[in-house]
Amino acid sequence: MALAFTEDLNAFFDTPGFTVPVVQGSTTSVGYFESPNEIIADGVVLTTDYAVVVKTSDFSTVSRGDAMTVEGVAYTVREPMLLDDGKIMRVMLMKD
Amino acid sequence: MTTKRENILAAITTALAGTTGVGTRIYRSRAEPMSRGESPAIIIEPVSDTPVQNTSLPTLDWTLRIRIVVIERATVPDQAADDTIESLHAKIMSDLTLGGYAIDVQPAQTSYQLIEADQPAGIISCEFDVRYRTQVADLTQ
Repeated sequence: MALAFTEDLNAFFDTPGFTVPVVQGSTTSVGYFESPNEIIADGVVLTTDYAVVVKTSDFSTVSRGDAMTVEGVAYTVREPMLLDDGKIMRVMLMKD
Repeated sequence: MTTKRENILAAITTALAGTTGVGTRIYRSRAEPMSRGESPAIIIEPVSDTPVQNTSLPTLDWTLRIRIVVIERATVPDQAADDTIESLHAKIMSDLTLGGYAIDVQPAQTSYQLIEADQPAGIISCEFDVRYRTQVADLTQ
């Protein structure tokens, strides 16, 4: 017997205290911000992998080079990367 | 006593003082990763040192390959590093004896690595061959 249920991504993103405001163009929504440090280039460069996880439907047109503001801080989009079934995505960011 | 190799590396580090764009961020054989705030910077490091015995005299002729790495963070990092590369090349080639320790200095190759990061990073490696001579049994002479 197939288990039928209606997916509600809003529940996943409706977590006050964990999500932060995300603005891109005229779109305002929320997302989970990440900023882990990473050592790249064979140990030569220390970088910060800025990213925000958002609903794909909210930011379906975002692309490389777009300006994006996360929690009031300006970033530039490196690339959007779909996760799992593609309904959420991680937007990799450069800090301006 | 200090080997001629070490004296040459120290002379190169000294010669690179004042290189355009890097301020005091000139490091010798730095092993720790470079944060965004520390760029642009340069790192001087030895790559290899190869001896040959060219004469019947008890001497060795060495070719010391050294690498000067320019680390730049910019939208077009190799372009942003151009002034630094021009400056370091002029400083290295201005005294081909490196204070009397070397016979000659020759540019060997320049290679580029461009990396995606929180701001695009460029690692530009400028390699030089430094030729010098020592006694067979004494690297300090």
